Amino acid sequence: MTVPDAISDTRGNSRARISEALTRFRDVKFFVPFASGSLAFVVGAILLGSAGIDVGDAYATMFRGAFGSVFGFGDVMLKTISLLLAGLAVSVAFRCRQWNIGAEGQLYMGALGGTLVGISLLGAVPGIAILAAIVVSFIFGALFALVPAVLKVKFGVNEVISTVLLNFVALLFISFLLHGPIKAPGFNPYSPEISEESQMPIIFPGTRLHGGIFIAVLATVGVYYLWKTKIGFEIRTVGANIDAARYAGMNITKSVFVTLGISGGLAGIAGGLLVIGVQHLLIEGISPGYGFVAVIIALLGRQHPIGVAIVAFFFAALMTGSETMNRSLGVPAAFAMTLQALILVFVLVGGLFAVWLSRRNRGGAR
Amino acid sequence: MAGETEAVILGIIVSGIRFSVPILFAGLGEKIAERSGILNLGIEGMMLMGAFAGFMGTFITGNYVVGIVMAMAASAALAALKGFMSITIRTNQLAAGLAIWLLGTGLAALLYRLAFGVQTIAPSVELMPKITIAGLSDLPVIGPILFNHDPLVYIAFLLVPVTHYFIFKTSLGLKIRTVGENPKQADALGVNIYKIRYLAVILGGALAGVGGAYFSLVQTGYFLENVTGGVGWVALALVIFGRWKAYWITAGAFIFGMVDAFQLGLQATGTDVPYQFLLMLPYLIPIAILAGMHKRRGAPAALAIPYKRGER
Repeated sequence: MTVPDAISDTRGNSRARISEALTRFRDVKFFVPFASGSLAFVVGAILLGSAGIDVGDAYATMFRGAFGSVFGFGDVMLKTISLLLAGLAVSVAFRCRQWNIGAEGQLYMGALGGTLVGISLLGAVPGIAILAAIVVSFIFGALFALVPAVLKVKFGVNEVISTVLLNFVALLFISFLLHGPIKAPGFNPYSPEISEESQMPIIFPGTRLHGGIFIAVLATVGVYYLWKTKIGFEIRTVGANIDAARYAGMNITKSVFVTLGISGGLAGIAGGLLVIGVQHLLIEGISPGYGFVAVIIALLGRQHPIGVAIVAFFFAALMTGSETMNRSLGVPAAFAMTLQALILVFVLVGGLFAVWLSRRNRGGAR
Repeated sequence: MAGETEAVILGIIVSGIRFSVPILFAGLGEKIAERSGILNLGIEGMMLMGAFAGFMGTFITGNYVVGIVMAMAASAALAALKGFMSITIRTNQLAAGLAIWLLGTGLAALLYRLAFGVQTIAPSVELMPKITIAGLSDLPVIGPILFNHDPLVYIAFLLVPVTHYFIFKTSLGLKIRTVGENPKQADALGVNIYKIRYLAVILGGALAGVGGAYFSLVQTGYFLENVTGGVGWVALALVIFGRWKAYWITAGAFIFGMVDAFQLGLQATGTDVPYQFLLMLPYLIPIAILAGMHKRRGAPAALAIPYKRGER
């Protein structure tokens, strides 16, 4: 068919033209996130505007906060570390249909693990201290995630409920430790400062960006290759079709344990890095809800390491910019969370809506 | 000091009843939604929106009824969005519920700050007054337990038989159950599945909103970020524990309320147990209860499964 032919062919039938346009966008995975993100910012603008806040100024401040200075961009990368690791943690679980909503609690347990290494004798050994802190934070996070795994496998407790409720338990446990057993002398409920040997070095002078970024990249690659290994295939199969996996003789119990163990461990590293890389001691509010935002990141990133990394970076910028808006314009801190949740809602609705629309149009054109 | 112990026990029972109210509203609402086949993980977020809207409405008008209605409307709006995602668009029900949870959590905190800014003294409303019944409220023991509460307590406990009757004895209740158990059959019988499911999930949302407003209007008089403290999630656990039946959900809500009142009582009287461990109890007990019941029967067969006409 020549070009003019094609034009006259489609001009005559607007229905066919629309359906052709939709076919071009059939891979809505590409188009929907951008539309959803823009729409969320529009809704955000309406909310801020109705409260009498200059929206243009607010969004400009937000952009400047994230990308306007070396320090600001360093903070974006810093937050990317936490969000990427926590997002990968949730992704590994979701990919295997283990609905782990407990990344926040597992992150805090990992932070505890990192702190304990940093304030113990182990933390005084140069070269080993950092590695030990990361390994122990992984183990702490993993062990805490095994609690819902045991509850699920042995007692049939739905992991959505157990993981969510255990977040509260973890935070209370940390609070107990900081008010008693590991409290540093002084008024505040803080742990003692970790040793210098166990502090993750800053890799970019003038920022707070530390070497943990390499760990996060390593974890991303690791999760990518995990799916290609035998165990990765098994746990994915259990997630995709538990009956088929059982029929194939796969060990379901082991799969649940491995999935939640890796998931909790990754969240644990996110927590450990907050201690050894940023705060250098443990405090009650060390995470501003990274483990909850991670749920959105995993869903938006389609549980794919690359997708998760992209969303984590974008959300890190959003959170850094929001903090700047909060400091200089008094825009509420909850703005970032609201916008992130809105994007998720729009993507969930928009993605399937577009599919539904294109199917309907194709059906009608037939 | 027998009299003092009795007073303490009485106090725990009375506050236990009050603590069970928000979870009862949320649990009964979620029961209706789940009976129709819609699993709503967003209860916690809807309750927070209810807590905010209820506070806002009462703060502006000074009228509790307006506050409660606004709480129901705000929470039902989120529920309708959840319905749109789960019924019309048929996205994954877990993902949709989680999105509603996080949206409600963020939006409630954001709208509150946008409306009131940061103030040194948090704006507050007067706590909802109690209804006393002349004669009955003054009775020893029985009086404070049964006849000396705010109106929402009475409404919550009235709702227990009402929702039970609604689900099991009315034709609409029968439709809701059929849609949740066997949507294909319901469709064949001419029941509009989409309409029934929307109705059930929105009704559930409105009730969760009242549960949320209970925190701001009865328990604190303020709106606080995350004031619900996980009660929405506990409600989900109790619906499973209660086998989707009103009376069992009520029993679960009672246990939760008593545990909460008990741990607060222990904190107040002073004990060697660190308070953080006492605060863990309301979260650990629901998990323990779920772990204790091995066989879990009674879940609607089509729970969390979207329905599409003409699909096998």
